[in-house]
Amino acid sequence: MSCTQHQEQISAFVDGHLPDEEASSLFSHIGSCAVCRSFFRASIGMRAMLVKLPVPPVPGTLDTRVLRIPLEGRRKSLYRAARTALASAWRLRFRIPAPAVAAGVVLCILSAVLSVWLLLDSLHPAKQEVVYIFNMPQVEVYGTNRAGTENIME
Amino acid sequence: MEMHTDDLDTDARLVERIRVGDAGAFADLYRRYKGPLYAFCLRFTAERGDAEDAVHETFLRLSISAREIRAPEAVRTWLFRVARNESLLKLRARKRVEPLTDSGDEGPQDGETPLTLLEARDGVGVVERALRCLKSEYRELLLLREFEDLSYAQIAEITSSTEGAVKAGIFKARRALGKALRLFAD
Repeated sequence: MSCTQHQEQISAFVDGHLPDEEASSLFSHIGSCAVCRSFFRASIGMRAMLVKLPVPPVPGTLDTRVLRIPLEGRRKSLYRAARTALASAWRLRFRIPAPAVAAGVVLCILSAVLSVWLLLDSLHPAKQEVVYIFNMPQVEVYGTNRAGTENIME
Repeated sequence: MEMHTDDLDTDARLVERIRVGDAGAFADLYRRYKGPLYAFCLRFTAERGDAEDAVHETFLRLSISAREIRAPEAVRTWLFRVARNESLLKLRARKRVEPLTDSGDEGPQDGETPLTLLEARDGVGVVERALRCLKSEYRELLLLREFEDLSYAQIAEITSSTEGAVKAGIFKARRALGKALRLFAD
């Protein structure tokens, strides 16, 4: 086994992840290898040094930003509460069921749209169309007007 | 820092309460983990603004997908995984830190460890600088192992890796950190 493999074992030992049966052979190698002994000391020392590093303070702006986040469950609860409140208010003010009112509103909108469409159709002038026929002279066709007369000009 | 059963239960209970929209539980969980998460993100990204954004994004994710956490008792691992991914996105966006390559097998010489070289100097500052010079994949492994005392299995879950890869990575990270410390101490 090379020193690199032994040092990988040392790293696992420092973390408490080296099986006992491998530890005895590792320590016999450490006893005879200066490089691995140095790596062992350095690994333990680095660990101690890293743990001593000061914990950076959390900025107050982060607290403000995170604690303002609305929760998904809370959002749903608020929606449910708003819907219930709206339904109660409707029942208090009107005795007509909401689906019937909705159907009436839809019918009103449909009839209004139909009326506007018919009005526009009556006011709209007849469209001029040009018909091209192969080997024939060009003919301009005027649509039928409301009086029922036709204008065809060659 | 090993987690006690009570802490795990409390974590699970807090997540359950967050799932039904309890803002108090959300604040409690934030207060419990804001310090470790911010320290991890700050040392990982080496940028205060990025660290703050990463922690904010982590708790934003928690607020949105608390119901999707499969193991509420392991919310700590979940939080670190999200924070790590967010930090990684920030790092990739910046690519400011030049990594110290870990080539060759040469280790420290006998009798001369990085610690002996640092004894008479500002150890804390040098260690922080040495950490920043590590490759991001080594840095995250060391931070999770040394500061959070997470097991290889937990680190593997956070980094979407295997225990074997984590073990090898931590060894390489220690070797690279040793080299960096020697470099800064010289």
